[in-house]
Amino acid sequence: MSSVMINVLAVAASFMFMEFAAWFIHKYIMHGLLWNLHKDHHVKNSKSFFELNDLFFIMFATPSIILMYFGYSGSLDNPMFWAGIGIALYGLAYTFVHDIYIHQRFKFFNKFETPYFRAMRRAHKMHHKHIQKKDSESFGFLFVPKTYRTND
Amino acid sequence: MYAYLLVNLFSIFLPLVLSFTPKFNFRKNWSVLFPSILFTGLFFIAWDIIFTKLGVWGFNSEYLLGIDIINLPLEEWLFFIAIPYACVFTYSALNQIISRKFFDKSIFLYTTVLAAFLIIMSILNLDKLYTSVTFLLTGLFLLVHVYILKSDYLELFFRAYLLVFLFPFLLVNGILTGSFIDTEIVWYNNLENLSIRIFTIPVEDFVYGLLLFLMNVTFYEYFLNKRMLRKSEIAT
Repeated sequence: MSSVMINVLAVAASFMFMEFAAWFIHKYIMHGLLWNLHKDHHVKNSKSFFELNDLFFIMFATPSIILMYFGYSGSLDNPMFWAGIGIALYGLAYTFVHDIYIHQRFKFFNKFETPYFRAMRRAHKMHHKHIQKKDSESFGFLFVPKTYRTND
Repeated sequence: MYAYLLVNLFSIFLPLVLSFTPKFNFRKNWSVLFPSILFTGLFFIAWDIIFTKLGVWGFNSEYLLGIDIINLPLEEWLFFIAIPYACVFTYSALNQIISRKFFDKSIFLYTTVLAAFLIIMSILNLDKLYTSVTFLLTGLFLLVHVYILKSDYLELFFRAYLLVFLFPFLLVNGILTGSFIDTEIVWYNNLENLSIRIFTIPVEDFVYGLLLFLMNVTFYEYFLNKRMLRKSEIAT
């Protein structure tokens, strides 16, 4: 396998892994041990632009920074570096879709609609219907289970 | 010379003590647990005997009592009792502590992706025995769970693996592969693995541990279910 292929795979694999990691950490850590940091994302304090929940951006960025830092040594031909890029790209997608498109922290893309994005937004709204630590649903993000897809 | 034995005793000590507490009362599930440990153990011991013979890995006599059964040290046999006991106890206790959140089918997608990744890596590394055999067996076993058994406890298993198992695993396998001590207790032939080490632990060990843990849980859940069915039959 050529090194370009391996690097492309590293980006794709780490991006996909992050979808799993986001789901797992959201379900079992944010709605578990670290609920105190995640709570204000469900019960909004309208005064502030920032949420305590934003600390998770730093936590998710850390492995990305570490992989890119240690993966770069004068050349970009190292899958470790590209795995870091994959995580960063996932973070970028997350910011655009979760924070801007769904929660409208900046007023962009508010007219944008496709069946897939509609399902994703519905799934996330279903998650937000619950404001308690326990008994929520739909913890995933880019992957939307069939239940939330409709034909209308 | 007692080091490996101590690692086993250390691993099983806390789970064993907690098994007798009224909160967990894990003892009541021993009749289900021991057959699970036995069946999984037979498979892993057979695999272990072959890999030891082929020189994929081996044991440092400096840390052993010196009693061999077939070509495996006694401590290695005990390993397949102590570790599974600790694993299944952890799994069962965690299910007791954190309530079963409702089942999320997306775990089947994530598991399929993981299985595909493991199988592809296995095929790309056919010349490395530890990598190819471990990744292939684990990949196939995960696919069996998703598509044949359709296990509703798969999510609970991954929860136990990621939230708890990995921490004592790093400690126990760290010691076995030479962290904190002079040389390793179990050595690995780097020609037969990817030579990627997390601290001192070969990356394949994380997958091997997953398979050992999951196979025990699979039998455990199977026998538990069978016992439940038998009980409800008697009741009706």
